[in-house]
Amino acid sequence: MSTTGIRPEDTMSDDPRRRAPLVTGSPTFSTVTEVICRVAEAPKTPLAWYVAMVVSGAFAGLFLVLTGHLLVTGVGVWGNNAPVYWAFDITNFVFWVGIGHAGTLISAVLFILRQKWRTSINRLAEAMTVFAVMVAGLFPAIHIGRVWVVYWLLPYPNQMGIWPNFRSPLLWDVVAVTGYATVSALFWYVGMIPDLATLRDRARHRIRRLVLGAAALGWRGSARQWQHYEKAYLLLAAVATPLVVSVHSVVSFDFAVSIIPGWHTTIFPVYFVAGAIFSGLAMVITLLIPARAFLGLEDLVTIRHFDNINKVILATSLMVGYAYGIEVFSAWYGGGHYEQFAFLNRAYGPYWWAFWTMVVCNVAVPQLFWLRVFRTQVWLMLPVVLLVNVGMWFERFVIIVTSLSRDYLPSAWRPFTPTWVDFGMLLGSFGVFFFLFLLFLRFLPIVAMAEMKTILPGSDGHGEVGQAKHE
Amino acid sequence: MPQSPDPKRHWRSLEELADTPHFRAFLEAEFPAADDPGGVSRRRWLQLMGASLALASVGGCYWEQRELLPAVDQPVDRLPGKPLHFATALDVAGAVQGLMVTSHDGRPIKIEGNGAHPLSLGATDAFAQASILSLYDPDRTRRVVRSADGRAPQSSTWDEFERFAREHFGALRDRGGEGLAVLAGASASPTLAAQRAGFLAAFPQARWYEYEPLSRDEEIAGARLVTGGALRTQLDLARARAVLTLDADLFAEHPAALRYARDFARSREVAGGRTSRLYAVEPTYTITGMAADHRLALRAAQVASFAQLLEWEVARLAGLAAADGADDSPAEDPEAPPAPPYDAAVAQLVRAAARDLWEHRGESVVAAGPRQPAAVHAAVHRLNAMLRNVGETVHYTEEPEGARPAHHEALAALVEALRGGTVETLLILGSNPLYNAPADLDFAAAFEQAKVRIHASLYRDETGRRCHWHLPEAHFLESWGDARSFDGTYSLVQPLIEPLFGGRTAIELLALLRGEAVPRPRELVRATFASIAGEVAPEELDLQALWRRTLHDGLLAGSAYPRQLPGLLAPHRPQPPPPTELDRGLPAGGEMELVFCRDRSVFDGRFANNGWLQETPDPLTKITWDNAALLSPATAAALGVEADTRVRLSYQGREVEMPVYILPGQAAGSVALPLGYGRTAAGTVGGDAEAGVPPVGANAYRLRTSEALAFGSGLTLVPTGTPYRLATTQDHHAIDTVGLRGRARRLGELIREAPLDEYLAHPDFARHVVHHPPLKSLWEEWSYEEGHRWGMSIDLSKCIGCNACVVACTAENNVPVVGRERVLMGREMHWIRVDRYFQGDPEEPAAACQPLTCHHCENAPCEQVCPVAATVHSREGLNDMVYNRCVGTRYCAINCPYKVRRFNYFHYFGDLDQPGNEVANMAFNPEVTVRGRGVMEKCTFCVQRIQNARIEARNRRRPLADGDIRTACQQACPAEAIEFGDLNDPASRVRTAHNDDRAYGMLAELNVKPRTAYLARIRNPNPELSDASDEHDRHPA
Amino acid sequence: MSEATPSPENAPAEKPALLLAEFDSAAALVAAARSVREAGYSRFDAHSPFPIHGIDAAMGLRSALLPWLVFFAGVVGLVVALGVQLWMNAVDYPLNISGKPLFSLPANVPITYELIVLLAGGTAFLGIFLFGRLPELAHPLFVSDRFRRVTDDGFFLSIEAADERFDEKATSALLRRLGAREVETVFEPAAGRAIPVAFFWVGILAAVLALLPPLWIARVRATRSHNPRVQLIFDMHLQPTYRPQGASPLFADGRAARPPIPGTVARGQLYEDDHYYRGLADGGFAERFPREVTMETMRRGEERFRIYCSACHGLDGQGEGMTLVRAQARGEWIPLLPLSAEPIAAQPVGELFNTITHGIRTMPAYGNQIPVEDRWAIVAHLRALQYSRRAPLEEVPPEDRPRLR
Repeated sequence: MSTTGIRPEDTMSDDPRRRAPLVTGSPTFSTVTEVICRVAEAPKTPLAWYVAMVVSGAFAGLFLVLTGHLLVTGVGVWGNNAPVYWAFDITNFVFWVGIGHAGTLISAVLFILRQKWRTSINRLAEAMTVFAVMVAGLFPAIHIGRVWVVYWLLPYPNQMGIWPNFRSPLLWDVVAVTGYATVSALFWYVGMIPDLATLRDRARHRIRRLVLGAAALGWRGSARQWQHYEKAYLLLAAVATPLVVSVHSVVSFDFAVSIIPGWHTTIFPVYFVAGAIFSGLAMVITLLIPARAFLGLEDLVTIRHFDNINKVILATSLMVGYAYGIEVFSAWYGGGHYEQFAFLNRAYGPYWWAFWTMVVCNVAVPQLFWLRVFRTQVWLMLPVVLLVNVGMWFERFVIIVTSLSRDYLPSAWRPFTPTWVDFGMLLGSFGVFFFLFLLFLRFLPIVAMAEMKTILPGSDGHGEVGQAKHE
Repeated sequence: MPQSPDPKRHWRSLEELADTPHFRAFLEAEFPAADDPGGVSRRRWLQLMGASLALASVGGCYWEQRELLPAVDQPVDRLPGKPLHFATALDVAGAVQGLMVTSHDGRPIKIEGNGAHPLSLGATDAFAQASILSLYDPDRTRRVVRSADGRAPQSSTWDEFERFAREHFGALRDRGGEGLAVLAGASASPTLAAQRAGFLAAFPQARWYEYEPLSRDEEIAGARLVTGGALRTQLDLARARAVLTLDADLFAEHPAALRYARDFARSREVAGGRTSRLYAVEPTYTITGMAADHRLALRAAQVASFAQLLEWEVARLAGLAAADGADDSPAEDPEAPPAPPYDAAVAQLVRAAARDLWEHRGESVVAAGPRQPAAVHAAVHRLNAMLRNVGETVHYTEEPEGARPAHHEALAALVEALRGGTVETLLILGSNPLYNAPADLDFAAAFEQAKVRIHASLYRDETGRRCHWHLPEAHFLESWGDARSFDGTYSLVQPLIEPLFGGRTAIELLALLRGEAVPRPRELVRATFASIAGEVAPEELDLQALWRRTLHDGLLAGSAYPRQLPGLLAPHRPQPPPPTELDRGLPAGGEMELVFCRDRSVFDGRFANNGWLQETPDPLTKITWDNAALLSPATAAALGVEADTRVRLSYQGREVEMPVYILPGQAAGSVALPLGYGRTAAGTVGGDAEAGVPPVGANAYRLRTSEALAFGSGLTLVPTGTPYRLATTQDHHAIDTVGLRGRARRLGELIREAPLDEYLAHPDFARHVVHHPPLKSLWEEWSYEEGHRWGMSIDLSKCIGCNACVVACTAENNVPVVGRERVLMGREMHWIRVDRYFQGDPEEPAAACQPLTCHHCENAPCEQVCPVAATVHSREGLNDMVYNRCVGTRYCAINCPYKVRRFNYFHYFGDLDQPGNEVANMAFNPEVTVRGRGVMEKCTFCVQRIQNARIEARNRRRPLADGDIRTACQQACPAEAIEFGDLNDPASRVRTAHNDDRAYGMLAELNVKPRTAYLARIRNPNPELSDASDEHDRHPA
Repeated sequence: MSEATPSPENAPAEKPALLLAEFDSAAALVAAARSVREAGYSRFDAHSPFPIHGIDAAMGLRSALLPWLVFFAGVVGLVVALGVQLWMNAVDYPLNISGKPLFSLPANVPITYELIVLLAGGTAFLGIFLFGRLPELAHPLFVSDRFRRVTDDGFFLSIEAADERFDEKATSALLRRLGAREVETVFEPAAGRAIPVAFFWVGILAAVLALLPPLWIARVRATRSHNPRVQLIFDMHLQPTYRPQGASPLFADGRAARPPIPGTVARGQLYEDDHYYRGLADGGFAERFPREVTMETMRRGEERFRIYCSACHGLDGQGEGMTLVRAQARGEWIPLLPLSAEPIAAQPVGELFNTITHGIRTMPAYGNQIPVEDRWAIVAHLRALQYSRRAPLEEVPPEDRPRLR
């Protein structure tokens, strides 16, 4: 595509008089279509993709094998013990659910707020959300002792005539996470319908055309369809927005509702949601950087996008840091010595390293984003966001394991030692995630083309007739 | 068990799979965190792993079909499923407990104490509780084994042996039994004694040797030193106000421990106002030491000097008292020779204790333990005499074992005879000298000299495997017999079940060898009974009725030994020992002292194959499945020994490598070695070289010599630095400063205790330890005013931490044994645990223990978080656990502030499907569900017992009375520390306990409303020493 | 951009479905749409790669009622969630959990909240299908190759032939006038070209496969089998414990229950009192009751007699119990001696007690079924029955006398 027209640095102009453009180069409707569809239609798949597939596929396979091992042998293959009844399993769960928040935030919240810059990244973020939530959902399902009766958590009429206990946060979890998964999947799909139609109409091979045709539901881009489509999309965004807030709040109830020192605190919902967005956006950047480079999306995903997201990351990082502080303060101010000990133990107990890793990665490192250069230079921001991902995993580890390993009775204190299965399944979960994500990159429209076009010049119906047309 | 053949075949195939090296490797890799360099015993491992296979093994198989086999005519009073109770007695190395055994459909499944028996008073110790598991141990010898020299052992039959015996012993009889030697363990059975006499009459030339690795020989010798006669000391701790023990574990190791523990607990009743005081002087921490108000750690060798010093102190007081007549107030005599400068703590304690004992003369007790030499026992006898305790709190009776030679001498004599080649036939009854003989005797070599070696025992142990004939012995629950307990009370042993593996008792065997065609053990016992009954109750004519009554009651009334008042021999002028002998620093030249201890889990090794006992944490060290060299922190520091490492111990040229455990309160410079581990032929649990099962722990007998049977000096200890993790259930990762501070901060709130005077000043101090806002609920609370309201109380003043409750609970509730590897992972399954905390100076700490089980909180935090309502509250306030509904989220356990819930991380009972283990299944309590994998479990307050009592009451058409329901832990407790009952019954003992001033609910400030109340512990420190004891309470460590 | 040459399938013979006009830009499209409407056409539509603002107005589209549907779904979610939780936890299966109230709103908020969102979201999604008339896999427009650019950068206006003002020539002229770059007549698709056949086959196959499991289950449920039911995972159904009267391969007799060992005495089974437990006194059967007989004993005895004895002996002990009556009707048993008959009445109570305990002739032993106390109570009742046979009339309460025959 031509390098004339808008140059990348223009996107960074903060001149209030003219709104900075959201795309660079001199894109037209067809070039947008071209750039984006090229990825999904490329006749021969790039080698890099295969390499990535093999690696992530291997880890995904490892995950499946270990899950089978777990189901046949028992939860004991993990390092969980008494009193650390939850460890990597729930840590991974909360971590992935957290990752899953950025997608809906970007697509729904920014949509409601009419943040047009979202359009070039929301598809990617939503895909990430869907896969992250899928991975997250696996852990609660397999971490229970008798997986084969997991359906007992659902309120279905049964011969025992007994129902689940709706007071239990775990049940809230089930509903919240499944609800979130459903809605974000719908949201993702709805957004893709017009773009699937595009792929359909460009398809050469008949089978491909049929399949895509079915997936696109016979979209004709007619004004009537657009009308209802936009209305429905808006409504979906409207209902998805409270979800962003509620899901991780409910997840945090798992801890906040219990009586474990270090868990039993009212700040958790806010704190968890902030953390979730924090980690989610970090993961978005992590995925965006290579995707942008490899798939040649430089003009659609501009530095301005990174800049914006990094600003949000910085903000959420401050919230998280504040939450850490407030936790300690209220423990001290509350005067309960069990609570006080819980936090002393986090910082100076056997798991001090985990705690300080968390603080450094989540609070200290992101402060670099005060510097514009870190927000705008890809190779500078990458390490930061990677560290944020690490830090957020450790946050959950710290909350769960340190609090459990030393609660009320010193006689019951015990350290937690992970087994190789624990590590295997942690890596495996990444494998599953990236495996799915790579499939998405290869076969589906990775940017919302239809939406992109709405922000291009000549996209509104009021411009004067007979505008120049590119081929 | 499933009748369709498919599952079995399916299982077998898995079995094979489990044996392929590949799969084994896969299993070993299972727990990198748990694996220890020592290597996990493959067999033991697979037994537990087989567990996890079970799920797969039964997968896809059919619903089980059960056969119902009713009796053609049901015997009267035998209702299927209705348990019966039989009185019998257990004789462990001559120490007897009267038992009441529960039998389900003719299968004994639970052992309790016989309430009528003066020495067990309804309680039992852990060994008695666990002996039911030994009965059903698949590793027990199942058949006669014959192994001619040089040929592989082959299974044989009793007929074959009888043929052999007729011919062989017939010849021997003709030669008058020349060249025949018998080695037997200690026994308290008069019938066996009679048999022995008869046997020796039949074989006049035969020699009979009696050997026990742990014996009371020194005690007997001590009594002889002072009184010239064979006398046995009987203490009356119930009346004692001041007790001083010299290396004596009265509450755990004494033959009358149960009785003493009960009496002591009674004497601690603070309500009465006359609380006893206990001083303990000992080289290593014991149960008694935990209960003591003042404890002094001295090397075993120094105890003698301490006794001497004490005797001197008391003599001074006595002398003075004698001078100014009736005036009992002790006074200082200015001319009295001043005591030379002793170690401050020692001097202080001796002085204070002496005064205390003297003030309570006639109501005090001084006792020494079997580890101490005769001289110390002699001193103790003199002290008790000086303190005028004899006839008051200290009584003497005849010592039936007085005549026999000391055990180690007997064994030495046997070795002599063997070396001399004068023994050609050696008959070994139950004992295992190849494992537990003193190392210097080199028994194994001498033993080979005998041409014919016959071994009768429960297990084909180290000795049995080297004998020509090995004969299965009958378990005491399978046999007719009798036993006389420490105080002489005569009990009959009646069988609960026919011998499972065709075992025979020593009594039968001796009769058989004597030439009796068909020995009838019951008749033999009956004969002895007749003679003893004749002495005890001559006026009772109807022998048959008396016999039946004795069987029924479990004891023959009035058969206790009569008390005697011995005169003391030569008057003794006590002299103070040189102060150097009481120096408590590390001995010069790094020459450590080694002290051999009876192990609190496996006794002298005879219980090594008992999984329940192996998994029971030691009350002090909390070690399971292992033994370790116990060092004091200072000693360890001086020697540069790290915790969780192995050390090499060498004593007189013999070496043993074993892990160390740093035990606060161990005497400086003294290393305690628990005996009974390192078995190589115990079985698949305790170690079996032939089956490739490595031993559990290290064998301390290898360092034990005839000169140093109890303790000796000159041990050198070299740290190897090899890391080794001991499977403890408490105090895990090296506690960091934060952890230590946190523990110290909360200890006073969890275990509330106070010295007596403070208690008398503020009886309800325990209620004011934790201050919290009034506990209000946001909603209307459920009411339990209607019907029953089950609750428990645990008196910390009484609990001695002996573990009886833990094993009792395991036996009653089918609690799984998980094995060392799982304990290392932190997955032990005990429903009741006894927490142990040390307080104060690590060299001289005070110890506190606290039994902990489900508190059945009325606002149980575990319930609200269960997503499937698998744990809910019953109308009577029980926190019910519905196993079948549990999906295993483990959230309930997380939300339990007491952490008393246990999770089945694996299918721990899967291996029981394996062929050959059907017998092990008989040990299960059929009234309690055996939990599968993935299920949470916890204490149920023995709900099955509640239901049984309720049904029983209904059948008898009367309401439930207090005491009808006794939980397993409560029933086993020798100290009556645990009460259970209906809190709605104002008269019930548990209600009164809850109303007691000392009652408090642990963590009650969480508003969980626990149904278990603890009664604060009242220590009774000597005011003269109280600053020391206060200091303990102030700075807990 | 190639001219739209009519493909062989849609020969001129076929009737046109609609006219398709392409425009240069969104703006042009909007303008054209407005004029077409003004021209009075109603059945036309505009097609664009992205939503064009203002085109709704231009085409005069009314806004949908989807928002209201979504709101309604939310309300439904609220009601259902609260109702379900209330009914399940507080009404249908109330449990005391942590001593908390059976129904308290705070605990039920999260699930309610989530269900509202879930239903609302689902409805919004369905709205697209409902109002956007999706899926519509077959449409004449798809025949046109040019139309494919609608999802790329093409702006089209289509006027259906069904519109009453439609006239191929005039309409296309109108469109050209409005600045359409191209105008193409799209014909009704030839038969069978509607939806690819593959779709049908896939659909049918899926449906059939989906039917198989339920059919299999139905079959299994209907058939008889002598095998016990299949149990995939045993959990705790397979207990290693031995149940009462169970089997065990260990013992020769195959029973898990072991016989009592002769000579042993269980607690509470000493039975020293021969009189009470065996009905014996000074060498013979006892003549007197071991315990005092109270009214309560008599009532108990009567009750127990009715339970255990009356089946054969009859309520009055005359031997007309229904078991016996039936047995005799089939001529199997000899008649029973009435319990009031002399030989029995003459027996000492001890002997009666002994007979109940151990049975006699065809009468089985009841010793292991009836507790000792109750056996004596029955004997007492027996004595009463016997006496009632020869009691003098004056001992009968006057009010009862008439009832005597």
